[in-house]
Amino acid sequence: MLADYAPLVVLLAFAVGLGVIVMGLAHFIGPRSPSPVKDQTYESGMTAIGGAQRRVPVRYYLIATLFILFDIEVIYLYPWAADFRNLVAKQGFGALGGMAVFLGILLVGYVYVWREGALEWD
Amino acid sequence: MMEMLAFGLVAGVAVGGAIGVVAARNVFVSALWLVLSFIGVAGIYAILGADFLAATQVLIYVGAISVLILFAVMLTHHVMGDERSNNRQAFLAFIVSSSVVAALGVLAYRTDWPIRPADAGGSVVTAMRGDLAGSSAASTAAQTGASTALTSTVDLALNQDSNVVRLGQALMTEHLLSFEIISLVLLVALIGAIVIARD
Amino acid sequence: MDAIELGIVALKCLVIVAVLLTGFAYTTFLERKVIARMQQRLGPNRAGPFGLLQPAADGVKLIFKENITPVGVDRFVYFLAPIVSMVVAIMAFAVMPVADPITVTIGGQVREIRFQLADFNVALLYVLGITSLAVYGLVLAGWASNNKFALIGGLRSAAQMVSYELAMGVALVSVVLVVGSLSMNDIVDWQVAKGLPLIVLQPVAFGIYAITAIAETNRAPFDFPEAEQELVAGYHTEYTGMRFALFFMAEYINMITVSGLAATLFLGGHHLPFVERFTGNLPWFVDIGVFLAKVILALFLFIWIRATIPRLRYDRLMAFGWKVLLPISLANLALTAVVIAFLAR
Repeated sequence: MLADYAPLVVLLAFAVGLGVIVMGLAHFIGPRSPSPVKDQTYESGMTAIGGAQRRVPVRYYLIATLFILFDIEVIYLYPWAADFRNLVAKQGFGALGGMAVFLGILLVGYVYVWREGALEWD
Repeated sequence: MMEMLAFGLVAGVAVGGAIGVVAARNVFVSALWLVLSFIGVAGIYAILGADFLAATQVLIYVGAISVLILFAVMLTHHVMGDERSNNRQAFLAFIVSSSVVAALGVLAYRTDWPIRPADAGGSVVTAMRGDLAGSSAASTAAQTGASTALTSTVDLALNQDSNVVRLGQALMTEHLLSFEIISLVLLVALIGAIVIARD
Repeated sequence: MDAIELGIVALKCLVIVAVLLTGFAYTTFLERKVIARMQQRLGPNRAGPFGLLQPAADGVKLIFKENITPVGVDRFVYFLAPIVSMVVAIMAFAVMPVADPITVTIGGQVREIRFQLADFNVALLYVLGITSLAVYGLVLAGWASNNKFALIGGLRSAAQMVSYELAMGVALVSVVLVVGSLSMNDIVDWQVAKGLPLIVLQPVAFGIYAITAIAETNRAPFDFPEAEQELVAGYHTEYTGMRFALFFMAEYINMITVSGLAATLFLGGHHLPFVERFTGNLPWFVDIGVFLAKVILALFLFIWIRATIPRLRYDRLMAFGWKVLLPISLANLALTAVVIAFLAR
């Protein structure tokens, strides 16, 4: 079981190593001649007004929340799908019904979200 | 030996990430350390043989909830600069969190973990596998069911000891009610999110 | 797990990284050539025969570029972001099977060598999970750069990627329903045993997968994070030289990965499901060629789409993901489940 995952750790080490090497190459080989004007953030030639870390619209927060809730729903679909034939063999259409109720309740939520206009992007 | 090493690695990542969360000066960076901690927890699940749980941990906690946390930080705070998140409640927080740790520790120590000695080397870590996948009765039922179903279609070599299949079985049979209630909880959360975001 | 096995794993990792890097370099070349042809141009043709050395020339150029670290960036996160992007892109490829396993004798021991780094029961969820992490590189870069264009690019991409991930997740459930396993090898074997690729049984799921895959890799027409007409270069506006190259690398490696996933899940992976009924199982080097051909075909489609379809409007993009793709994928799932229930009963 554990041996299944060990290669992932090795690959992770390789990938991180590559990333660090590339960043290091850039750091040591590339020329450097900083100047105050050059180091300004790029705003299409205009002088930047204020910093960029400002509050973001609530829309993004809402989308992320909706994503979490539906993502949890999707996750529950996988074990059910992987075992579906077996479940049908045992329970007949009950296997279908159990998931239909689960999805049906969430479908109510989906319709609510849609009608409340949470999916509109203004 | 190998298991201890692997456990040390992922536990180190989880605890190190957690320390980073409290030590970081910037809330945004704190949230990033939390991501690392979540990945460590996913590793612990993987070592325990709960592969589905590990994947879920990555998919939900790392891929979704942490993104939400980052958005929440960006939404509420002026996050740049050294605004220490320490304040007068630090001592109170310390007391609360250390008593939680103590309570969990006592609980973990005093719980009678069912150890199955015949299981691959007989270490505690491997023995705990089956219990994460659901009760043993459900899993054996699923296993026998799974093998009959598999021989009838194609020989799916890996599937036989998969706890994904066991979980699917458990959800649709003995935990069906809890499963349906999960969707109700999600529905309530959905409505709550909309109501909060509108104000 | 002994030393030889560890050596094999390390070798595989080295090959994966090397192949992905070469693949990245020549995908950029392919893209420039194909788009040039579609626009009645020649494309790069000076460096080497047919311009084949162009990627190498680009790489060398990027190494010798000046690296500018703008004022006001969060240095830790700023340097972390490109590495995260690239690492996530490489990790997703770990579970891809590219050929049938072979047996070799090393030091008197017979060993099976798989042309795949790792396969486990939840391989499909692993890929989904890892690709969902791709959002971090973009958000971190956007936040750390202290640039408004970068921030907007990063945020947009985050919202876009999570929205399309849902539809992709549901579409892939249909595949799991048909096959009954989350393991890559099981899915490929099933297609070979049945003698037909899953695209025939699940055309809708494939269509949704293809669309969401383009959105997940932030490619045109879904290239909002770096929509140059409105956001300069989006999340990587403030990145120069090799730092920028890492983001570039991540984008193309992600393209290769989602193409490989499309080949594995829908096109029969490294097998030719229908043909192998007559020819029998093909040797491993043909397998690799077959897999490669399918990946290149998918990459060509990526490029073709980029050259053909203009960028969407952002509100349309979000509406498309939530109001069109998600319901269609759910309907496809329901239909698949009902059909299977009737067949299996």
